[in-house]
Amino acid sequence: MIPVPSIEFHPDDRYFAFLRTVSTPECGQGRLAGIPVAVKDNISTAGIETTCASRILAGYIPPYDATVVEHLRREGAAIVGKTNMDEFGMGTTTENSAFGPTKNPADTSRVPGGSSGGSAAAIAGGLVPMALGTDTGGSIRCPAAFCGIVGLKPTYGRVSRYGLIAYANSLEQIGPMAGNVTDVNRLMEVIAGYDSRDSTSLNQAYLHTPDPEIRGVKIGVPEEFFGEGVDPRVASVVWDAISMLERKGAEIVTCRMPSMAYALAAYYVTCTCEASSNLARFDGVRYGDPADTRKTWHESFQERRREGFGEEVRRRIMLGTFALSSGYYGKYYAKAQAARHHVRADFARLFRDVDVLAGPTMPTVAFRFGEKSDPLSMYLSDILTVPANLAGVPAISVPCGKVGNLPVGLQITGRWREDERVVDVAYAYEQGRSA
Amino acid sequence: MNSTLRDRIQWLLKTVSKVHSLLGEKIPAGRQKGMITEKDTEHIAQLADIAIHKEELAAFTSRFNEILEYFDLLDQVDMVENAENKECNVLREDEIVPSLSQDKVLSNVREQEDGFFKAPRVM
Amino acid sequence: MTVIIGLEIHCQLDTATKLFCGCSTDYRDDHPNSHTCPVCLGLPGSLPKTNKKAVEYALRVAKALHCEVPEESEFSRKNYFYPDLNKGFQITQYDRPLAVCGHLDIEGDDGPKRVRITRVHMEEDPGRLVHKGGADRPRYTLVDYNRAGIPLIEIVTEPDLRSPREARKFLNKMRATLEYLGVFDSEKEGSLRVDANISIQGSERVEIKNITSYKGVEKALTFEVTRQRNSIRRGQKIVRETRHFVETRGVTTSSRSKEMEQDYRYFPEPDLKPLRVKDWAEAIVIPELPDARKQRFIQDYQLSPTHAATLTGDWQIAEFYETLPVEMRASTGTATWVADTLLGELNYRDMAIRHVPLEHFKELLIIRESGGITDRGAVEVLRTLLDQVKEKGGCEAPAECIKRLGLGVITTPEQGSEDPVTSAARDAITENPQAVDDYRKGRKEALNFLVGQVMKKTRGCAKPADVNRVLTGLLSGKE
Repeated sequence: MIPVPSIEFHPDDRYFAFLRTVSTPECGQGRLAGIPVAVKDNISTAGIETTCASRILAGYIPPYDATVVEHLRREGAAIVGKTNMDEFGMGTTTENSAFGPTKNPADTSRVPGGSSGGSAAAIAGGLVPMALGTDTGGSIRCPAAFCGIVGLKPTYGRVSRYGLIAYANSLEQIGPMAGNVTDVNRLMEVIAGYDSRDSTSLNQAYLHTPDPEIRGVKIGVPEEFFGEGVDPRVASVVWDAISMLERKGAEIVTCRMPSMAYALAAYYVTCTCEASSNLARFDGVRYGDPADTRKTWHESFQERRREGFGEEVRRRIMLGTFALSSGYYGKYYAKAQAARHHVRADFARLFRDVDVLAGPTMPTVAFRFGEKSDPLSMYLSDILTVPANLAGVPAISVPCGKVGNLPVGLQITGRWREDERVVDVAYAYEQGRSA
Repeated sequence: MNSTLRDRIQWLLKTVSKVHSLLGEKIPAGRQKGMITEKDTEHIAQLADIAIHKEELAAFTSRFNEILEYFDLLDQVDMVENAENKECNVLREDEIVPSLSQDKVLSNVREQEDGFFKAPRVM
Repeated sequence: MTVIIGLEIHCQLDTATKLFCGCSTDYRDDHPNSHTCPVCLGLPGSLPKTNKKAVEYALRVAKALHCEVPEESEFSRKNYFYPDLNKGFQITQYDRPLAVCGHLDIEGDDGPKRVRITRVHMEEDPGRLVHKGGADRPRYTLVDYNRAGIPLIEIVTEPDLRSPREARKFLNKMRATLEYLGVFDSEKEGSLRVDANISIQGSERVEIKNITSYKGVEKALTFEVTRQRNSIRRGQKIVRETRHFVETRGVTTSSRSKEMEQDYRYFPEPDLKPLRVKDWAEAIVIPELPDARKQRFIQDYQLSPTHAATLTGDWQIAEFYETLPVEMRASTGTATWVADTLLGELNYRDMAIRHVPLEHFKELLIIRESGGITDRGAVEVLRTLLDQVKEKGGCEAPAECIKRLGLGVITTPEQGSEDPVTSAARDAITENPQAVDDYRKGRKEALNFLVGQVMKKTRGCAKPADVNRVLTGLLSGKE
């Protein structure tokens, strides 16, 4: 028998990027032959514990691989470990992990962003060249911006969600994260494509060579992307980046996106509603810590959820439960869906005139640990990333400079199904900067 | 940098947006209309089947009120007819795919009985 | 006091795979949790994908029930916590069902009746629970998800039914219709579940949950009518509540569940795309349904409406009937025999026509029709064969059975011996001197008694006319 090839993986994980690692992961032939790839802990990996950084799933070993993990294995990648995250993806800092926070390699007194903070830190800390993240309202782009790496939230449907443990089904996508645009593109080529098991999957392969030509590209800059909450130092760095693209031949126009006024509220209503339902299955019957059969079903279930979920998860489940409860559906869920329609309509209108939109990924640089102690102010920091999720359009964050020693991300948002275009603009920027 | 752009930034940074005015600021406590009480919070926890401890009630309730007040921004949204041309009829053929083995199905539980999962009594 | 009844009928659709995954639906004789996968176990990360055949079957039903199929429909999540739910919610249809506003015509208590159908929608079956440690004080619950994800259709009627009997008739007609459509197998255990809403006009409505048999529906409703009437007579108020039917005791009991308020928090299932199936529904061609077949039986075979209704009221029986030679189908004798005798004997044994080897019964019918066996003999053979089927799962050939039991029609005496009719007649005369005496005194009914005795002795194989002739001969001549 030919021995299965493998690599050695013994990282010095001083940032707590990984929840668990595989010391001699198997690898093989293919487009990612022998490349160590980290996988966010909400993506199912057969035989490797998958917890969503939640106590409630501690010990759960999926009997199947997510479609994207199948793709990684098929292309020879070595799956080296599962990365830390905000519990179930609910957070913007990775502080909400039940197993402790990840540190930002750029400044270890600060958060890496979230919820894919472990994946971003593993890349920024030099532990892996690329990783999978997931993005429900900015969870790939925020940590990419905070840690100074590249992260793409694909068009909804271009990457299969089969095996992604759902937080908010209608918003989230698995996406590639890496140190540069070329690697993001490479990883995207492997994970994207139609999957018959995902009813929301698009029949569109991703095979692309990034093109740095920016001449003739029309870039829109919505005024709302530079609203009052945006740190002026961040705004300034981002404007410098946009100006650089203009110098290279892009045409810059400012525009308006009125639906931004309520996009964040629509986002939080939608994701909490969906989460309240998605997270109802962890009852300890089929997996997880066994339910206490001395108690009744409801007693056991209520206690399990009280003990097994962190505070933020419980808050979002209760918010969603309330928003869907009798008498409130019209006020919250239905309105949020109407709001999503207006967001999509805004994008559609803007994309008639421009090819991509540009702005900061995050309104600020990485927070200090504990800085965002009240939930609402944490939620508000997602304002610039959620519109792409609400509309299902692609968006990428690419490093565009620093405020002090802290990275700032430039966000490029594109038309539905035009992931290639946002990768090209990010690539053009990256090339222009390094030139 | 292009001077008109620089001016534009200055203007933009001064723009007061309804959304961003709330960024980083404390929401005034107390929601006059439709405020959630601790009793409501208990009821919601019941509905969500999540045990809530007495000492948590006050904090949860005030957070809820802050967030729900923010959600009121949706009141301004015009309802629309679902006019989108969404993709429909994503279906699969009625073809059997092998199931997981019973061993694999039960691999994540510590206790089982004759191939059944065990759960607490219902009542 | 007018009784008002509406039904919610849940039927398993007879597809090869589950509603949202490729697991086989053929789980009944298999080990628990052996027909499951990440999807129907609700494992984290799994996603549903709708079975096209299930949609097609549901559309056949919608069409047969003359429903309107809206331009667009969708699946929703019904959220509640119960161990038989693998995901903490059930995927069902809520405010945008597959089909609405139909009807089914039945023979009601006061003649033909149109029962309005409110809606038809699809949903997934939950898992199966086994409560351990006694019904009164269960200690824990065992869960099998083999059933989880089996496609169901829910058919909801308007409150148009006026008696338990009418409800039963409606249900029978519905079952027949579904079986004619080839989408439902009523023989599979647990393939049908009914919830019934029942009220006495002017009083509150009571919901009876989870009736799992056809007979149960009539029993539960009859019990409930009596209970409600008695309450009203005693001047008590009917409470709006949910009650459970306890099949073994034939009663309904109040389910004193603490969750007085159910808030299912429905919202559209985000993992599935909407359905746009109006055109598809229009293109579907449905087979001949019971009413049409009944008309055809009356017309083509000159059957009475009653016989035609019985013979077409079950798809299998109708199919069986039409395997008989054409000239036999038009015989009243055959119709009576199948509709009354065969079905009666099956009913008596709690068997269905599918249990019997039809070739054998066809043969028996043909022998009977050609005079090779008397009616009574045929009944005895039928009973014997059915008992064999019930006990052993199979039976001997009718010809063999007739020979073995000596039930062939006695026409000519065997050579060298007295014919069995004469011999039986002699015995009857010897054994019943009183009757013989009475007969001779002119009481003609005494002869009937003697004929009966002879028939008994010949186990019905003799022709009554022959017996009569032999008896009168013996009684008058040879003495």
